[in-house]
Amino acid sequence: MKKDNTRFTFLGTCFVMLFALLLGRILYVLAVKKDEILSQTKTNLQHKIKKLRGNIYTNDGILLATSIRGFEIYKKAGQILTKKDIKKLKKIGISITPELNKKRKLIYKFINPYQQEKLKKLPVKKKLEIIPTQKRIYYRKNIYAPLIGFLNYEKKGAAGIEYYFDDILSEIKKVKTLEIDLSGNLLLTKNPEILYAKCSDVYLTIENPVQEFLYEQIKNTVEKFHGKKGYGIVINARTGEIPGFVSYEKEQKKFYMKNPLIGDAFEPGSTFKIVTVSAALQEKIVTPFEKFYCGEGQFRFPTITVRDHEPYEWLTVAEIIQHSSNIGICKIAEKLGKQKLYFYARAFGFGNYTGISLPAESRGVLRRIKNWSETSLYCTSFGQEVSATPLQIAQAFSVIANNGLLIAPKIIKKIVASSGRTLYQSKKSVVRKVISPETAKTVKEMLLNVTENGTAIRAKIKGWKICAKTGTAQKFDASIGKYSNEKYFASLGGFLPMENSRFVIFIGVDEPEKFYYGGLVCAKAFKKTAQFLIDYYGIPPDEKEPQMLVKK
Amino acid sequence: METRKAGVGGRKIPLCIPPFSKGGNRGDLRIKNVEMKNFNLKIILSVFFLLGFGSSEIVSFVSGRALYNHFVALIIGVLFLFVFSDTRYRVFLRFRAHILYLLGIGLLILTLLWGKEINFSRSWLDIRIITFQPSEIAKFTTILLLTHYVSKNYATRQSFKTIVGIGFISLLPFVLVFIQPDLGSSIVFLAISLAFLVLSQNTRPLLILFFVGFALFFSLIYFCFHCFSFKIPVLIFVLCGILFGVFEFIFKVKKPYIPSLFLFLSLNVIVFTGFGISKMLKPYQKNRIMNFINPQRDPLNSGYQISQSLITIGSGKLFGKGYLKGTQARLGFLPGKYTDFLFATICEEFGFVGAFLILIAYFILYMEILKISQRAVDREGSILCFLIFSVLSFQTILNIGMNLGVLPITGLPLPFVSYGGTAVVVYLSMIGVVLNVNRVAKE
Repeated sequence: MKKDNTRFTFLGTCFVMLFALLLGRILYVLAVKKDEILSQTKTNLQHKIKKLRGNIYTNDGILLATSIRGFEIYKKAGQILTKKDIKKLKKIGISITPELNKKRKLIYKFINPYQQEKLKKLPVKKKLEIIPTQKRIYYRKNIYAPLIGFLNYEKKGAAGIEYYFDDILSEIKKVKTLEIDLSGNLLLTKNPEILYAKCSDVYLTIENPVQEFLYEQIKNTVEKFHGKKGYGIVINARTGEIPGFVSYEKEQKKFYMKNPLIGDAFEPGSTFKIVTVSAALQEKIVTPFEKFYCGEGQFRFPTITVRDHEPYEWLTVAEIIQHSSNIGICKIAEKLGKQKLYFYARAFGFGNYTGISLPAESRGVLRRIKNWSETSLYCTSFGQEVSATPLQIAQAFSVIANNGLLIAPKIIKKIVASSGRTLYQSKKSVVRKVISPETAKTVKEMLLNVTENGTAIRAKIKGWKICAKTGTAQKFDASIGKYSNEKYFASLGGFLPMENSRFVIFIGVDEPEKFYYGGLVCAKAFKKTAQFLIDYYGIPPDEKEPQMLVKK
Repeated sequence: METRKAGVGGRKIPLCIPPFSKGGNRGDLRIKNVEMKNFNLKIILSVFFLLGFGSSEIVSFVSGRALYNHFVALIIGVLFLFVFSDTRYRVFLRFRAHILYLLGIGLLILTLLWGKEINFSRSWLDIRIITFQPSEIAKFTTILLLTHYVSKNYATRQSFKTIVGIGFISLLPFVLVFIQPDLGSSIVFLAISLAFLVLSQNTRPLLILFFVGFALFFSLIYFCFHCFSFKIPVLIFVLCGILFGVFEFIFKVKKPYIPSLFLFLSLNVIVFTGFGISKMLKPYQKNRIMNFINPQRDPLNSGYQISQSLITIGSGKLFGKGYLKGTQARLGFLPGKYTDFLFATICEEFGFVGAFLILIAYFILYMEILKISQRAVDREGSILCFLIFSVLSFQTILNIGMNLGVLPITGLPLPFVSYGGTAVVVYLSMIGVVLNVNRVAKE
């Protein structure tokens, strides 16, 4: 065979040149285009997802809100889903309405990883974008909804705890996002921040059994008396922690933008009398046994005529509280004066924020003295012309329960990072000393008298000394321009036991029908809650029952 | 030539071996008394280096059944390598080449009928025990028949009839593979026939093919971008009319309608076939062509592979990130990380050094095959080696070029390195044939 060497040399050189070209290209990519390429990796092609949003627990570890990972489905731009595609999607549990729009659009909010695995195998996925996302799940929604709040469309907290602790629950400021690979798995790393890819958890001071019990009571009360709204608060008087924080509305909403317990402000009514009495006793203007003439049901002050629900003649200060006499308290206030009343009302926390860790708190209305009219002194003394939130009223009771110390109420127990480290632990914070312990003791005895043989006699539990004060406030009807004779706000606040008080309870019902006295409407719920607290926390009885001597 | 000396103790082979049908003696089937010395060490070493390099990467990506398949394929491949290097190549070239070729075509037709569809192309055949890719087998069988045919008609290699025959032999599997559709593998068959044209120095068909190919390619690109409109044939008609006028009135050419009609017809044929092919192409194939022209066109969707491959190679730098430490490939950013884009993965983990070693290994291997082709005893061996050289080097250059973003993405595996059982077996058999040619030459 004739060897044609030129042919092979030609081919050989061609081949060598091709290889040299490839080698040159490698060098070009590595040396010249390197910076451009590496800069591309940082911007375009890193896929990131958000950390899992933190959980919300009660103090006893009941899960209230949690997040799970999943995927949301977008339709790619310029793609149209055919009927066949929709049928196939429906088979794996994704029901979509047919869409003719060619724009990129979110077509399904959440699929779980199992569905995503199935979806990956379908040919439809070419038309879809599957993006990692999270879903928020709420437990015991009817009880906790006003407290916990909800997430908005952008997965940010919109109300309640979710809003107030949005930064902590989603850690926006610290680590924004995590890197993931294309298939949506987390990158393997030794960084604990990423390994525990969850944000911090929030623990509330709420005790779930207390909360549930209180909710039942409020619900029953509201339904029984056909009220509009019901409020219930239990505060641990010694620490300011709130184990029960319940609001109930007859027409249940899907989303609560504000918590009614701190958002609704109304005139407290007779429960405000504890402020007037405490102030008068603290300033030593009156003594508990000083007698006042209560005008037999009606008394004409210089600027206003005040009525009582029952006619009384001469009552001591203790009896004024016991029978909740408006005329009597007006006379005490007259003696006390504007300045002192205003000072003590402020000191008890009215007209100011309680500082609880919840958004949209109302501070109520307590007008400054220069804005007071001539009737203001009398009205304020029995809780009109003043407005307060249920929490503020409960806080005022806790001042007396704490022997004169105002302790800030707390809803957050602790914040725990995903690594298990406690980031924040709530501590008892004493705001100020409002009245002296001696005065507080005197007021306590007066309030004890209310349950023993006063307006709140239905709240009495045999064996335990319970202090309470009823409140029956006429609601101001804007349409008439007067105080309404039909709409009332019935409330009952108190604490137990009398000495070394542990729990403050406040029950309120808005606009009950027919029966409207605080001592009537709220007493049952109050008594049952008190009984439950005694059982749950093991509060010993104050009055020891006579020991039974067992004879042989 | 010195290389044609008989091996030590080897049997001297006459230059003209009687055809198998005539001689029919089984003694010819095997080479006897050949020492290991006659193995070409350069080929063996470079092939095993590439296999080892590829397998070390594949082991880290694949597990379970797929890994088992890979190792079984490797063992079968090495077995075939020794079997083929021990079997005289002329034995299966004569009439057996036809049978093998028909077998290959039959497998391709079976694939079209009952093939297994993976990634939109029906190119796998599942026969319970094994799943394999008949297009790879067809490459080998086509080479064999083409070698047989060409060496038989070597004297008339410039004639039209022979070229048509070559065209038919290579176009049949081309069409069958193209319908699957597997563009990359089908192009290899074209490359085989082109390689023969280069070898036989047929300049005229080469030029025509290049012209038609370029025209088709550009019209295809045009139609990938734009939809067809009847403006183009009208434009061609007007152009040819002007040409006719120029010929008629200015140059006063005799019979001016012949060149203008020819131009009109050929342009129309090219435009319509280009349009037809672009209609036939799947959207992803269109995207590949467009992305080859402009890689930055769509870096997140259809241009994703090219841009990711470049990032992967670029992030390797000089010494690479180290074995098992390549983030781009291992974290799923690079598609086809252990098949078509394994070269990019190697570049990331072993850097320029690794890429250079791979390229050098390929270079040594292919130059050695070319040398063997040059010094083969007879024409058959020479053509066989040359065709094997052209198939393997074509695939290698296409794959590496695709990895580097200089050539469009065609979906061809890197010989010996990429994952793919059938490919490994077939390519190792090819190397076995080359070794056999070498050994016969050395005897």
